[in-house]
Amino acid sequence: MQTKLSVPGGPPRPAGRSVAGVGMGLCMLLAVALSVAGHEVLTTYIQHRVGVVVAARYLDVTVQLTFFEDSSAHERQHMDADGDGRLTRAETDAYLRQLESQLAQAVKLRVAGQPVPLVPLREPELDLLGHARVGPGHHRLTLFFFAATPTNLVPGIELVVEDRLWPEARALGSIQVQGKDGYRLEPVALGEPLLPPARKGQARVFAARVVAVPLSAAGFKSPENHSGP
Amino acid sequence: MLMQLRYGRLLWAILVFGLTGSTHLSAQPSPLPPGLVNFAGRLAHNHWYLFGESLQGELDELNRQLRQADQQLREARDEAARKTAVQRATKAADRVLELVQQCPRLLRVDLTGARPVLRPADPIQQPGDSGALLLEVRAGGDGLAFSTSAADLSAPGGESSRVTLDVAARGVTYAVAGLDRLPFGHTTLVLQFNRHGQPAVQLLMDVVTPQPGRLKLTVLSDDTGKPTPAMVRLMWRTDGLQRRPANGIEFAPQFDGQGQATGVRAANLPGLLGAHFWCVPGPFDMALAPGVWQIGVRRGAEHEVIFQDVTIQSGQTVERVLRPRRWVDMRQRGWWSGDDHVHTRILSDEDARNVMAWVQAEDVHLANIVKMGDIYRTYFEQRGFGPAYRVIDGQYVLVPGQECPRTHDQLGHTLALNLTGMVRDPEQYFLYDLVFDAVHAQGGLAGYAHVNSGMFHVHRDMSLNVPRGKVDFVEILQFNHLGTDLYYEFLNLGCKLTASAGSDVPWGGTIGEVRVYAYLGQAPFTPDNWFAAFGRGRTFSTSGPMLDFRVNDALPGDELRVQANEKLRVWARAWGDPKRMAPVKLEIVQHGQVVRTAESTDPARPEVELDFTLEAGHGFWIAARARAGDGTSAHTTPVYVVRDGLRFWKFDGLEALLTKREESLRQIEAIVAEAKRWDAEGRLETDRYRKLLARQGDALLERVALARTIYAELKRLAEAERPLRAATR
Repeated sequence: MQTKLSVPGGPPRPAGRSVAGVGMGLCMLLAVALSVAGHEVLTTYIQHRVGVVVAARYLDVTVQLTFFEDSSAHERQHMDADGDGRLTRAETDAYLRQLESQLAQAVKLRVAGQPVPLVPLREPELDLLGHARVGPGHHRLTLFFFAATPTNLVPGIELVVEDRLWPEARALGSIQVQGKDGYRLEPVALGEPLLPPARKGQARVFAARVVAVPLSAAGFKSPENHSGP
Repeated sequence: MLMQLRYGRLLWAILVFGLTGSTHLSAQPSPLPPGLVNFAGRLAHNHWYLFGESLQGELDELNRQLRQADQQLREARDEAARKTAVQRATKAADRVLELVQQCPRLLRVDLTGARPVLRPADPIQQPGDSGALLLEVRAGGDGLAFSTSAADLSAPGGESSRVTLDVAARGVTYAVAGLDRLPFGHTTLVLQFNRHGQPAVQLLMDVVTPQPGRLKLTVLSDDTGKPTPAMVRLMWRTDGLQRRPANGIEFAPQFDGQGQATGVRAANLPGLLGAHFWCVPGPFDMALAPGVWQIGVRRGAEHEVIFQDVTIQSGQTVERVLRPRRWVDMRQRGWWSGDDHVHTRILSDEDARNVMAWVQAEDVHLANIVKMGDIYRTYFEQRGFGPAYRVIDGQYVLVPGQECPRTHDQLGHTLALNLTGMVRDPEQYFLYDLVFDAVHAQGGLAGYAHVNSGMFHVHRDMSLNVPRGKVDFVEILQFNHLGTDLYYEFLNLGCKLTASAGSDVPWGGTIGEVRVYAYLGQAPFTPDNWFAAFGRGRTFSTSGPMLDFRVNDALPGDELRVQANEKLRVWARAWGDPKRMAPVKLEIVQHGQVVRTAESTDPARPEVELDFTLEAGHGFWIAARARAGDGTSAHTTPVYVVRDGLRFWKFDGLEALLTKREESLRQIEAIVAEAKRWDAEGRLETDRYRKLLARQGDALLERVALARTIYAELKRLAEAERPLRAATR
């Protein structure tokens, strides 16, 4: 009846970092396969949906990756530790654990150009979308991060999420934003929703702009409210 | 209790300072007890119900505190920073431990004796078909560890009810084990404790779930007041997971294993609209675990979304009748929705019923059901094409069409609407114009897919066939991304193109997440009237906000002929769902440049209008575009203002536009040359695309030459127009 497989642990493949064992091998395989085939078929894409929610105390960043057929098939192969073609929870758990340590490094946040440390809010979730087998399908990996809401948020400031997850795969990108407790944000339009494979170390960038802040925050932050020399 | 708390704090002090008391201050592994952070995360997000709703917020805060402190500890560069982090971690961890030890649902397992002992031994109550066990496992000796696991009781092969937990070989382990898909009633679990270096220990544990309640859900049409198909989401607040409604349609078999091949659909739409929904064809009645359930009901872009919590009680039936309210009825304004790009097999009445339920659920009046082809084969088979194979139910229609030819590395993907037969010939696969001609000969409409993103080098074939007038429409909106670069380039060359949109299900999220409206005015809705309106270009595409646009009396797609530099009245209105789309921004785009803009100011009324006059000048194309506060957008087909004797193009930017087209033509020449070369070298025996490209290359190059002739003619036309333009205003 339930359709969502909620699994602990979680993985990205940060560009320019040493990735352990099989994960790296598979990544390279995927990259080689993509470059050799040279296809731009949607089946090789990974959809990156970035969500940013700003509230009084915390700023939450969610990155949801939907792996399309070919990219999903590669990852599913990797998950299938016993090679029986079926993906068990133990296997998906292990898959996520294997990559977990790299996840936090692959997503960064900048506010007004300054880095703001992101902390994993909880374990990543893996949803096989009802198809628990090896082979082409779609699957979804969701990563959750947060940071303390920066004190320097004023209208016009940009929040930039740098995403280095699976950089070697082509990507479809989008960002959704939400403000709470008096904050209001707007997404900064991506130039192109289709992103080519990223170069080593290069991030996919998703940006949002602060449109309004709560009065209390504005009162604290507005330079003209400062007194004294 | 006091003893336990003291014990906890003491242990913390020992652990934290003991492990970090060295002089090594560089980035280091967290000194927090193993598993604590994930344990806290699970409690906060998956199993907060163990502690009751009143502590959910505190658990969330503690999880955040712990994780921040953990990171600070790892990154601490000096003693002061580390001390601060340790204090913070200790405080949060102490409180987590305190809450766990005080939790009335905590089970205690003693592994120190010859046999494991469980207290209490009574059956453990679970909240429903998912739940959790919170355990304190004593293995003897010192040490503190935390562990998490999850068991899906439907997943193990064969009959099994085993739940495994990793626990420390010594000391105390606090563990939480999630239980998914528990049978209702009484279940005996085999709890297995794995300890490093020691044999596993098993223990039988009885769990019981309460008697389920029942939910009877009916969604009513706001038009008729009668039950209607709808997109429905059922999410149990206790575990945050959604369930398939009893009659939720599983579309997987109709997707040929392609794309997101499942019935649970996540739209490419903002916020909660993008959550998982199922298509339900009508009312349903199902057993659900007691507790609070979130019901979500969506009925496409013209209806407000409903999210409502209901409480289900054991043994009782809750009946809900929900009626998503229309915030707009575009039909009354003469506009009827469509989706030009839906892939699904329809080989039986059952297939047809399923898809019909989906379009009705999303309130999309016409869906172009496209059989897909590539150079090797076809996908998403149909029973046939033509009016006899349309599926009609009231004001909803499924019409067979095609997405073919499709080449990924060469020329792009094409769409055809309103066919009487599929047009596909691998031996002429790269000669898209032949397909466009055949489609038109059938009375159909031809266009390009994915133009919003420029995928698959679609600019190349556009450069061949748009100036020849072979193409009717282009998709400028997909996956909630409005992309107009290519669209504007060809409009600026003076080529008419209708703005369209397609979801590309099953790669897209759901039918109608982006949609194209065709203006039928007072004419009744029929597929033929819809296609006629679409063919005239009387459209706008949207993923949310609605648009009205007129230049004098001309509608989108119309040509407004002027004989002099007369004043034109431009009127446009954009508006959106008051509950989610504020503010709405309206832009008027002329030759690709925004010439007027306005934004709604009332948060409760996302509506904005522009009404102004504009000189006809030498003619232009002009369109309306809207962006809503929730990230959705819309765009009309232009009105073409044509000054007698002049083309409506962007005269001043012509050179750059033609340079781009020449570059596209050069690329076609290059891929043909490459294919021929590789073919001569015998490298294409398993690459049918390039093999056939090599074979069809000469015919394709003839079309390149023809396109060059057209562009050269356009240059001559520009020179001919120049004095006329100089002489007139």
